[in-house]
Amino acid sequence: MNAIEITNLTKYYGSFKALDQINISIKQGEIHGFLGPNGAGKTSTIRILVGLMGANSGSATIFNQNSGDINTKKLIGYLPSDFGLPKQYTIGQYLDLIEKIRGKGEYRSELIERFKVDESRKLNQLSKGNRQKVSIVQALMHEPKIVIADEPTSGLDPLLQNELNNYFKEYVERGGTVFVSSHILGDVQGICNNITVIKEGQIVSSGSIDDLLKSLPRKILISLSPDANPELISQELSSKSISKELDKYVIYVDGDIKQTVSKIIANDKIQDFSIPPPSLEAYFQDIYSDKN
Amino acid sequence: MTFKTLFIHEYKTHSKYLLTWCLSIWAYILLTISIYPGEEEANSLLNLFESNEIFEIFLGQIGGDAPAYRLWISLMMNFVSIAFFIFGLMLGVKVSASAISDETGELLHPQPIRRLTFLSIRLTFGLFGSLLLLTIISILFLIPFFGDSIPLENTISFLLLGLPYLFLALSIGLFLGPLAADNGRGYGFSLFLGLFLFGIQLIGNFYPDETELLTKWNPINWFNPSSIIITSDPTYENLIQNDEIIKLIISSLIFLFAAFLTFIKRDIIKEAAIPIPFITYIQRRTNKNNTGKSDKDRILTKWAGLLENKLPFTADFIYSDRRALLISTWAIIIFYSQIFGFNTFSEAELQNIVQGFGSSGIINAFTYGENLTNDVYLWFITTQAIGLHWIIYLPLSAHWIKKVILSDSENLNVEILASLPISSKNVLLQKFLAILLELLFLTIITLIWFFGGEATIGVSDNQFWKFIAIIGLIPLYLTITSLGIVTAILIDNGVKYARQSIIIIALWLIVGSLLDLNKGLIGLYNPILLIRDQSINVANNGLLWLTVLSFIGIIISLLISNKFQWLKIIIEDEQK
Repeated sequence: MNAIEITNLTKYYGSFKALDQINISIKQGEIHGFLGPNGAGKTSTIRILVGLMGANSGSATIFNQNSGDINTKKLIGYLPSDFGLPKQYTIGQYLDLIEKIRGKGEYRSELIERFKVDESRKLNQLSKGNRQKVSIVQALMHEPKIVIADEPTSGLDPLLQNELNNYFKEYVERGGTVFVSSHILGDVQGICNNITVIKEGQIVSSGSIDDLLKSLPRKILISLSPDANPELISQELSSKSISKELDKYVIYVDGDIKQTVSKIIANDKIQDFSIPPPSLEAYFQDIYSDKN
Repeated sequence: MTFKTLFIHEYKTHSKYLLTWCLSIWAYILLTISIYPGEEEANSLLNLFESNEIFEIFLGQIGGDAPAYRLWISLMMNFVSIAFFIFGLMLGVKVSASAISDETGELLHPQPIRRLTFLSIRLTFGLFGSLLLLTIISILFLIPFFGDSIPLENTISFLLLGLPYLFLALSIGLFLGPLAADNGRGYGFSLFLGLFLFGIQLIGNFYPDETELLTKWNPINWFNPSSIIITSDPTYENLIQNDEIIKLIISSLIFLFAAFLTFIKRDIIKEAAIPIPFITYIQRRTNKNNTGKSDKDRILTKWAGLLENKLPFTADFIYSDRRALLISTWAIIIFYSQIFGFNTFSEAELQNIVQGFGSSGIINAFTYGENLTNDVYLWFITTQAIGLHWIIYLPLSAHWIKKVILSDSENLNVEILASLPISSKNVLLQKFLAILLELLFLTIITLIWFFGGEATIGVSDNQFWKFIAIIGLIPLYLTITSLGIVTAILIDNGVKYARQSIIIIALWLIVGSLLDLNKGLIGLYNPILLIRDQSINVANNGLLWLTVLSFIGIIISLLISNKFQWLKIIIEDEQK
């Protein structure tokens, strides 16, 4: 049984199509990254999953139950990206309110300690980071079956970002599932098993990070002798393009990397070369800059 | 358990709003009672109102053989009827839209609670608020002020009929709230609807035969507190079979069902707000298009564009004060429009009115305790227009003080402002200029409306001193605001103290007027003496002192501007 199953989900805001027949499947026990630029449709998808919005067509289920149903909501811990906190409470009183609604949060004290939350502070006095910490505690303290998090590290310092990522990993080891959105690749690259990329309301790619990396063109940095013709070398190595980066040339090659390395070694115009580890960074740069 | 928890949550969230409304309506009725002129004068006034067309239009049929005190209270209840309706609408909107509007619903609505449960809790809270309002008013009815009170049977009938009436308004509000998905927009809906129905009621009073059908189906007419209070023998059995009760309950249930469908089916997010067709239409007409609207484009603040290049903080202050300017302009227009009604009274009628009201209680707060029996026109323009200035401007001063000191911090705009290469003295000076210009703007509107009104009713004498009396509001409120700002800069939590001192100024004025005491700072401005004595030296040379004081206030503010911390709120929060 999949933790999340989204099928042909479409959402309009007036005449604007925010989601265009998207399909996503997330297995239980994984941390799934949901990536895309601002305005791509991440928050709309998440709001449909947690029942804040309805879809125009298609379906979204969580553990085979329709999103928005009362029993489905019991399974979810939700960290929104934009939210307000009722200013009349202290943090402690607010968490008490959530406990009265959902029952006692067995992980409350652990989360309070790990995220250094001062329960005596009033909610209307909190900075963005501290508000985010409250949101984290209220979403996770009941050990939900699935956590749906919309840009959860926003406003957190690097130490707490790390702490949250660690908590997610431990939570998944205990049997939980995490669906986490971000527009920053680095936020999810280190913790996610699989990612889905969305752009302009359509799914661009989905799968494991390893598979995605394997499918990407490899970047190779080469140093050429002064009499070498860069364009010619690029053609010989079957590169799509060649550009200069400081004193080195950068080429991207598809296919078998071993074959390309053999060609480089055999070419006496190439004095030196290096192959950085594959990165999704360039791929995302393309998506974000509309080249893809 | 969840129901109780969420009810308490709703109470904690909306209690301040609820109590403010309840106390305001309660205070209005208390005010009504406090100006009761006694049986003889009340009877004479009520006879006058009965025979006057303009009163009949506003108040409907008044009369009967009930005692004068009950007639007096019932007279004032006509306005309470519309106030109740707007109260119910707004309460419904607030409880159903505020979690969407302030985005607290992002955390609350995904909790495992049915939307129907949320709606039920909010309806229950609204009914609780309605009952609270009716109860505190009923208590006021039962207290024997001036040796007289409203009989228990009438009071209970008022409660029994008032509750379904508020239930209807509440149901409509609960329906509108999720549609508006924003408190401000929802209040816009509510006010428009309330005033529209009130307008139909007025037209119905004017042309009863032609508008019979409209009147019959206007919900504001389904609850008539005046007749309930006057009725000498209310039998509950008759009331329960009353057509209006049935209409109120059935239409409440229809709107409640619509609210249920709206709240269940719609996206409960801020972005799902639907525009108000009428207001959007006006905006399109005034802005030529419907995209990219900002407060810079609004009709009331557009003039600040002239200042943008040289005085950006002044322009920004005025742009962001659009709502305050709108409310104040409306208040001025509503108050000063009463001048148009002057000719509907004969000289003898006016004498009767002045005799009836002139020396009683709270009226002194508008007439500065002056005896105006011999100048009924001056009494009229003072009590209906010029003397009401503090109702408009004291809250505005309190708003300005908070805005100057805190608003940039509260909306985090300060983070950017503080990094700009501009001194806090310069910023303060520009903000003072904005306040001065807003005062000037409101004064010009006042002058236009006042002299337009006088031209309509054919009065043209003594215009210079009336002009001075209205212009005098500028130094008065510039003084109050600047001294408040000095307090706010110098003292920790100074904004709170400055705003509290404005409440004290208002009480000082009212109590001082009642007891004929010196009225302090606000007493330095006395429009009656300025107009009547035609001299600038009245009220201990008050106008001159106020001009000097306003300059002193501004200069002190600028001198201590180095103590003004842009990031005061943020720093205090961090320290906590």
